[in-house]
Amino acid sequence: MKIAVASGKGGTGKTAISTSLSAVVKQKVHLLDCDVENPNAYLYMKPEDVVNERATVLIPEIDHDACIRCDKCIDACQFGALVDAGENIMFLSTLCHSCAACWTVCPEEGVITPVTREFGDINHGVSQRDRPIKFTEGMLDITEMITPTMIGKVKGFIDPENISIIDSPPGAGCPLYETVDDTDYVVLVTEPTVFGLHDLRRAHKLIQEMGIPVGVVINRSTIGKAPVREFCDENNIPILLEIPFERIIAEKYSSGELLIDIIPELHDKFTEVLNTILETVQEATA
Amino acid sequence: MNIMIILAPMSEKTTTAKLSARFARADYFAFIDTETKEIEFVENPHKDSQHGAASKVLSWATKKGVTVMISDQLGHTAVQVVDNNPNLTAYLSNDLTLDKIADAIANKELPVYPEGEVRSHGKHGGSGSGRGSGRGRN
Repeated sequence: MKIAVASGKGGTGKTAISTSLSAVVKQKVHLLDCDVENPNAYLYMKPEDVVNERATVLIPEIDHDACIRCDKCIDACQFGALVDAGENIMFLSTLCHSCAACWTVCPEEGVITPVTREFGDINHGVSQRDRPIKFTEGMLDITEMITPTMIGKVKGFIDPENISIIDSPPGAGCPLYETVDDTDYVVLVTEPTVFGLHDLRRAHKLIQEMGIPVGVVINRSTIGKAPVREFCDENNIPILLEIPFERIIAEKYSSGELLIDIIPELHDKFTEVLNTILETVQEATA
Repeated sequence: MNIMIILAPMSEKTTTAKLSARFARADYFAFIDTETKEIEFVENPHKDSQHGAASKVLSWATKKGVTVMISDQLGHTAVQVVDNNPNLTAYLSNDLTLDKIADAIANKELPVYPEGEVRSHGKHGGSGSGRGSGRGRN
């Protein structure tokens, strides 16, 4: 089972929710940090025995002398990574999504060769709480722009035997789509501010169109007056949990503690949230 | 002077209009034929492209014979392509209207777009690693 924790707006508490949610799972659990531009769940999970591997993609290497300039590769590249630059075809590596279209359509053997390019790190470890939590994170190299590609790499380590909790990037575009695609449930974390509601609407619209069951966690629920609860009521979105704004949470969370350790009563509430999600998914798949 | 085709981004199909501040996502492009003085307006086919609008526009324009372009703002990708295409020269418009552009270029009155300088209204940055020959401009 795959549960994504997303938001729309940045800074609502996705990581705070996904880390505590993973810590109350009694089955085999795997936390995957797909917020690959700035992953920080490791600050809270403190994984041990971390193993690093470089993430790679295949990119085209063009033999300009052998190229017959049919330009089929340029036409095939939906990302604009190949450009007619006069005498030669120019390759823009950061636009390349490694879709293989260019070397597939090239009619001349050996003119476009796929070669490996590194673009980030994938780290694996285990967080030793009362039971081990498998941990994987992706981290793009600075200036890299192929966020969905890295997210796909991280999700490639999902084991269907585990309950996978996926910490999503903010936004409501391609990175979010890639993260929640093929998940069983999405938890949208928001706050009752104008910004929180605005971005919740956008993220919810995407998740709704994808047909994935969704629930909302209202973090810092005692700040702001935006009608988040009314929005949830109008759209039949269950509110899974409300966490009030408390200084002690802000202070201790900032020093790397899990919500369920800061406020022990939250442990049972997170367990209830997890059970609600599990029941919803079971009903949806029955 | 040699015959050339000039590419100019436009937000309206009017010869007395100034150029669009946007390049790759301009509504239209004007193609100016310096021999016939004809100006053809073409809808930008890549205006709504999700990815690589600048590089797609430049490939499209190059195939149409463009060797000179005018823009006051170029993003990172366009700058890379222009800097690495020895057959393409970019100029700043000096706030001229479209109908004045061809003569201004012929009379060498327009400054060349500063090499390597990203002037973008957008928020997207990032870097590429183009493999063009980088032989500068004419």
